[in-house]
Amino acid sequence: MVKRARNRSLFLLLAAMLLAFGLVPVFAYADGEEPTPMYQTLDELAGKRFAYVNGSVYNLKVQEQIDGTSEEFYPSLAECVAAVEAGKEDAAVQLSYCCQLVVNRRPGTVALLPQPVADVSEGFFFPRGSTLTAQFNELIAKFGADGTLRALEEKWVAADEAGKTLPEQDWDAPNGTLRFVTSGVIEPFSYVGEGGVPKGYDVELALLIARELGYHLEVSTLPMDSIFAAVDTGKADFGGTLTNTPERASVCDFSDTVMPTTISVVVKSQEGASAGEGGFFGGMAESFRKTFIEEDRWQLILSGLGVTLLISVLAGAFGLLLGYGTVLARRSGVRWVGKLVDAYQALMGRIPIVVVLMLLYYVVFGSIDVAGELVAVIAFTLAFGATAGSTMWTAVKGIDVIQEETGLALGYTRHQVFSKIVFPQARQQFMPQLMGQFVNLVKDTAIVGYIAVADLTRAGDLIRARTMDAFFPLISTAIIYFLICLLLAWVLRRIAARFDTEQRPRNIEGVVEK
Amino acid sequence: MSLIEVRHLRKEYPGATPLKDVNATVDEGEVVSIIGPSGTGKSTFIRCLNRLETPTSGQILVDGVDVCAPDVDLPKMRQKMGMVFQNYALFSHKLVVENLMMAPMDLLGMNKQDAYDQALDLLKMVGLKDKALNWPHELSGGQRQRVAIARGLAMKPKILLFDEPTSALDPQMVSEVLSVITSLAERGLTMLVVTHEMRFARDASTRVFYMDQGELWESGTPKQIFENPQRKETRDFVFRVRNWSWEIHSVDYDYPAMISSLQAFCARQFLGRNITLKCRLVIEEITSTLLIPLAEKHGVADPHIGYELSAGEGSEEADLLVDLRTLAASGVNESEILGLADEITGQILENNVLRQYVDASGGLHLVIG
Repeated sequence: MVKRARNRSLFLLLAAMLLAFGLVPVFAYADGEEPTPMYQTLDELAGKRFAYVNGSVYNLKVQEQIDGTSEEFYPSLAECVAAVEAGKEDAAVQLSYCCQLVVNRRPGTVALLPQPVADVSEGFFFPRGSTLTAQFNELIAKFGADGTLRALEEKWVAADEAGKTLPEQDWDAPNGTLRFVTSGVIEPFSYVGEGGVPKGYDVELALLIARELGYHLEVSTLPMDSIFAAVDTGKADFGGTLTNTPERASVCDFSDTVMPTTISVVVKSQEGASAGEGGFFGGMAESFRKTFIEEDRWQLILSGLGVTLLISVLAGAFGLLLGYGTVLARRSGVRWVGKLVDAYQALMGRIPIVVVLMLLYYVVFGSIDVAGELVAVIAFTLAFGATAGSTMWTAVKGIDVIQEETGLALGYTRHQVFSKIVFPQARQQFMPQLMGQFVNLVKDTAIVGYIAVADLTRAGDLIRARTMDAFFPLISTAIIYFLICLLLAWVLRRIAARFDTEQRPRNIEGVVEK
Repeated sequence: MSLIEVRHLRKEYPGATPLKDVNATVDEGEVVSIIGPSGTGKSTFIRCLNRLETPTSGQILVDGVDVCAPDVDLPKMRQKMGMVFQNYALFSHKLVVENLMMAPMDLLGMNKQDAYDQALDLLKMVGLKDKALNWPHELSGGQRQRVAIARGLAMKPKILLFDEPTSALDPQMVSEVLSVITSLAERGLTMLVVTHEMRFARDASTRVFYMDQGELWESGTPKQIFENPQRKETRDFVFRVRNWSWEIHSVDYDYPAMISSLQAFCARQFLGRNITLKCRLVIEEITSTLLIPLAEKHGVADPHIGYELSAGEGSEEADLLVDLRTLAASGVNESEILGLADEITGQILENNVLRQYVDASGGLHLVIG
């Protein structure tokens, strides 16, 4: 009886809170019960860790309002919220409609802060000097006045998914076809529906405008970081929608706001929390200056390079040990140990490393507060350990069994035979291959951005998303990787030369001829 | 007490029993050649002696130590017995001299200078002191095998085991390795040598073991084994190694295989270039221009032509027995065959065949020279 009474009072409390939230009109399409957010006001979030979607500039808005927040960027809102759920981040920021959707989709785990953070204006963007900009602005104004925008908003934020269809392109298109790129990851504005077809508020508005202008529309989706580049480089006629900032406006032309809206903060609900840390930043300008100088972005690249090297070298060293361990394990001759090594190598050989990385970060270490860098080192140690181990084992197996018998016949123990005779000869053979595999490891670490580790590639991504200049940061990243791999290969060759009989001098140190 | 004593040694694998019941003793200073057909357990026997193979049953005493005892110190026991393998197996990551220094330094605690001095002495003994600072892969097969012997000696063993030390070598390299082994025999080192080199077995060993069917079939001095073998199998084997025989069962016979087998025999018997070439010419001519066309003419599918060539070591003459009896029995006209002898000597091979005769059982012999 006592328990039931407590449940009832809890229910009443929740109902009262829901009632209060229900008064906020912007969340009209919310359905179901609202969970309780961990934090109630923006002030409580001072100094907390914030997650943003790649390419978003909401961090600037947040930092105007809240002091001392750190920031991490993720591929989409889903990853941001997953990080919040896992306690790796304290808050995720996105357009309020998107936030509400995520909260609805993940009942109980996350909740919305009652107050939106700020107003934002999102618009389509065009290559600089495009005549489309003015035509679009004219139609946006017209649609605003005749209630079309309002109707679109109601349609796309509605809870009922069934009515969310796009009009057929059955009109005449005397002016041809416009190519439109959108992220496809920001429901309800731009997302992928049944059959992989992009739809949403942005997409339908683009269609309506194209019809008025006498065009057909060809819609394609690109990752958040790439849509701006696609328009900038002319691969698309326009893109959208994104927040208009002065820096972006210096590269592309922006249309007027398509829908005045707000951004909100998603935090963990009160059913549990954990602490962690993070923090990384990038900024905005043109080519070299934009990429390296402005906001001291060279530091971003430098620290990214440091992270790449740190992860590579640690994973390389530990992976080498792990690989050697698998060779010893196989040599033990114990059947199940061999099977275990087989299974480990088969698993690592058949699962993409990026999947292993995310499994480790979001599942294995999902509830533990652990640095992404550490998870990356673990993942790449596992991967390199598997390849290095099988490379070594292949070479060891390739050493004629007679070498082993010769050693035994001389009076060496089995262990001595391996360490003094078999392995050194195998090493001569596997060193070149292992060096190549290590350089591959360095390149493979480029995917750690998936778990919000700010390595070299990620630094490039962040800068790219901010500057919206695709070419220069990519080329810079490519050149840095190339030089680093060249340098590493050179260092490794120097090390390998110590073991290479062909390069060893033909003398015996420390003896004198009689 | 004998240095090596083997009692009822048996080795079984699933599906094969290379050693059935071997009993043998070897005294200090003996040089024992182990001969016999392939696959009769010779290698398994000496591999059991240093426990590279674990016997299924039986007892092996080496210097009074039971090497099959469960608590035997295998590495220590093996240090007393050097072993030289067919494939030399030099350590490719070490210079030649280091191949000889490694084990004494690692296992006997010898200091580097002593190990180096000893290594050079041993290399000098096998005639390869100038190769001390070469890499093993820079040496010929014969040189590598000599280094391998020196490496075995570097551990100062009481016994040296050889497992077909010359089988992987080109004929011209065999003698350089055999002469090293012979010189060791003269120094009084106890050695067991599994070999196909009958001349070495006869001239350099104090005793010969003839092994067949997993047993030590016959043992005795080289004179006893080679000149007066007691058992039929031994007699047959000794005869076989002194004779080359080949049978042709099809008109599409394997010509290259026949010729390479013939040349291997001539090399083994140390026949000169001249006589080797003559033997080859005669056999080629008889086969391809006379007998095969004859078989084709009469539609004989399996002509069953047999050759048996015997020649003493280093001899200038060779006796070739041409066995045509089956061909005759298959319906080839007898007068045609009888007429062959004249044709062979008269027409084609007058420069190569000294004389011909028919033996008591009707076999046609050509004396090549």
